[in-house]
Amino acid sequence: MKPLSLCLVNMGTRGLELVKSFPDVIPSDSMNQLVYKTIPMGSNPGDFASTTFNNLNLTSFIFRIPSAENRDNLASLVAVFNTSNYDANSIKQVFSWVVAELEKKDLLATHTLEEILPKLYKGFNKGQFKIEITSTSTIKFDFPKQGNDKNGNAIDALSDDLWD
Amino acid sequence: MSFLQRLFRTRTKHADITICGLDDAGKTTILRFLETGEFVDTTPTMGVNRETLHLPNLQVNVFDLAGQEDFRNMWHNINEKSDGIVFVIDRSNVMRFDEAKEVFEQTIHAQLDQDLIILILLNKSDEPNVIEKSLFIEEFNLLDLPFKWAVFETSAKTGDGIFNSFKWFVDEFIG
Repeated sequence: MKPLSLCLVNMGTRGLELVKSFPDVIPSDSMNQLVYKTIPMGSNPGDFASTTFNNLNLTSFIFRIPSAENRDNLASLVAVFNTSNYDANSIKQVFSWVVAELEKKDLLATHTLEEILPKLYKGFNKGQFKIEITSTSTIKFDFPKQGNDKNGNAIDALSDDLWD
Repeated sequence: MSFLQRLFRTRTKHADITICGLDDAGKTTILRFLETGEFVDTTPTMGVNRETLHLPNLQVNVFDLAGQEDFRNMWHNINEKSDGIVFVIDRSNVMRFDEAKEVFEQTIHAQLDQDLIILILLNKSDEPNVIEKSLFIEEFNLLDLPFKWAVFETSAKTGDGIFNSFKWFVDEFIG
């Protein structure tokens, strides 16, 4: 399951904006449309979105980024593919798991997500990832194999076991 | 259906209202306070939230509009079908008063319905260094408005002024 690119989108002062894409391979015209398709109208934290446009397919997870000083922000993690033949459920599970793990460790912040995006992308290509977020916090994840009925249980178990 | 039910049904009115204002003024937080009676942390609105409030003799469809610049172009499409507008202002953010005034004037000038009711909320009254109500009325030229309007001081954190302001609004609809 090799995405074309992973993106992080959040709400800026004017509207939705791209924070980072890795690798940066999506044409700017498509990117301008993409940011508004990753968080559809009326979306709330916890929602998923999937759509197809300009021969690109994407699945996004919409979540809340906490802030101590200002109000919480709205953001999305996005996987972009140039084929429709990918497992959207696995994408949803990975993204929601990563966000939940960062939140659990009080590390859910835009700059953290920016930093781990390249490693997450490489992890998608290898089928697993291990990311050191700080000197004391690491997340490690093995992607469920497609067609495995026990995906959900496997992920639940991993969240308990894989913190170093 | 009993006589009373029929009577009640015929007396229930419907109103569409929109909540506008700059981003981070507190529009969604006010709406959540109306629904739950308590302060609820919110995230920026993605385009529009639509909620229905069921009040005695009045069903209100509320369109809570995102305040970011990119979304303001769609306001007039929703506002022109509205029976009333709630305009929310962060009264503690002096740096954005000019922007708020410009957006307020654009919103008001786009209205065609002379019977429109406008509720203006000076929100974040719990913050220090807020603009005075009288100064605000003068600065925003409210006395020249050709609509029925009222200004209330509110705080969506403490709830101060929220219910009183909407009571005025609802009373205007029910007549």
